[in-house]
Amino acid sequence: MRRICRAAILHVFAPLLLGSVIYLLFRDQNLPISLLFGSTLSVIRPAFFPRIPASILYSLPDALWVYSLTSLMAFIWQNSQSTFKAFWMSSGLLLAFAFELGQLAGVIPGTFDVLDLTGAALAASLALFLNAQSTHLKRILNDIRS
Amino acid sequence: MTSDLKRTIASVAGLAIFVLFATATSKKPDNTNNSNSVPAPHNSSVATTKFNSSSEKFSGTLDQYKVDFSFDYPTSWKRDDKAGKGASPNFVKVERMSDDEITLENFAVGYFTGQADLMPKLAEQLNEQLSGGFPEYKKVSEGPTKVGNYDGYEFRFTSHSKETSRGELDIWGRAVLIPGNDERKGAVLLMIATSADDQIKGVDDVGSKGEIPIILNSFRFAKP
Repeated sequence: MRRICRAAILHVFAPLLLGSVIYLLFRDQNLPISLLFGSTLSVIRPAFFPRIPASILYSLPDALWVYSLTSLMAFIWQNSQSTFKAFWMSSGLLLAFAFELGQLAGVIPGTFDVLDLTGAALAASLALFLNAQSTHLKRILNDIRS
Repeated sequence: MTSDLKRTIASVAGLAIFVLFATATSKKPDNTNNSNSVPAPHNSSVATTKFNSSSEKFSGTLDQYKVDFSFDYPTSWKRDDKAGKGASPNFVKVERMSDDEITLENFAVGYFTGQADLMPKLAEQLNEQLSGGFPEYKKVSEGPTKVGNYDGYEFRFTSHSKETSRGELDIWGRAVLIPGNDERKGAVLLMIATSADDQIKGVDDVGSKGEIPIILNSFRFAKP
């Protein structure tokens, strides 16, 4: 149980938190999430943090979101044989692609960026790879124990 | 309850939370890039100088696409003598600089001939042109906007320069395309601000903080 909690914190909550911090500290101050925290952030933003490349500010939070959601789905559907497993485990990537393509078509606010798509694909792949590694390791440990 | 049903319920709940999270970090629909009815200038008592394109003489392409417009800019700003002449794409360019000659804000008006339905495409072309002129250029938003009474289409961009006399500087830009109509041609309003200015903290402040709002508030075409 402790291992599951630790993995959930590391692979689900921490990336989501990091992405939120990037939004809060460096991105648009008119976002709903920024408005929750008032203007105090605008004071610490330039004073305490170094300049960060725009590509990181604008693409990394989205990639972290995809990583986090894919990891969550991987945890939930671990060891399942359901036919829906693949759908749910790719839901983060599918949503990210839908958002970006919606932006490209002009139906969703924001700017289409190939870097966002690439970041999302890499993030989902990494989440699935790490989850598969962890599952494989668990099986080996179980085999040794039995 | 079967194991897969439990997983599905957990997945739907998880997905809902994540989508909610994504919504909280997305632009509000009523503020898609562009809450750009121009705010009142911060200091309306600033002494201003009027620029009127109808009293200027342009040559070449600028003369061909000339459009009559005017705006007031703070008298402390400097007008670029090269704009409006030769191969310059701008009818006019005015700039606010620091004592050590670092650009704090500038505002330029260039020619633009497209109609409203072509704006996204023309914005992309302008974006391509600008991307070659700024280090670490990145377009960060795009969409319809409004400057005064004029409907337009804008995109915003960021850039980062490592080689200035003050070391590293962020550059934030905003290009607004105002389409032409039967009465007059259109224009491109190009605004730049840098992190050397204390009042401007990011790309969303370009044209809404600092002194550019004084210009935007007074910008008028001679023909509506």
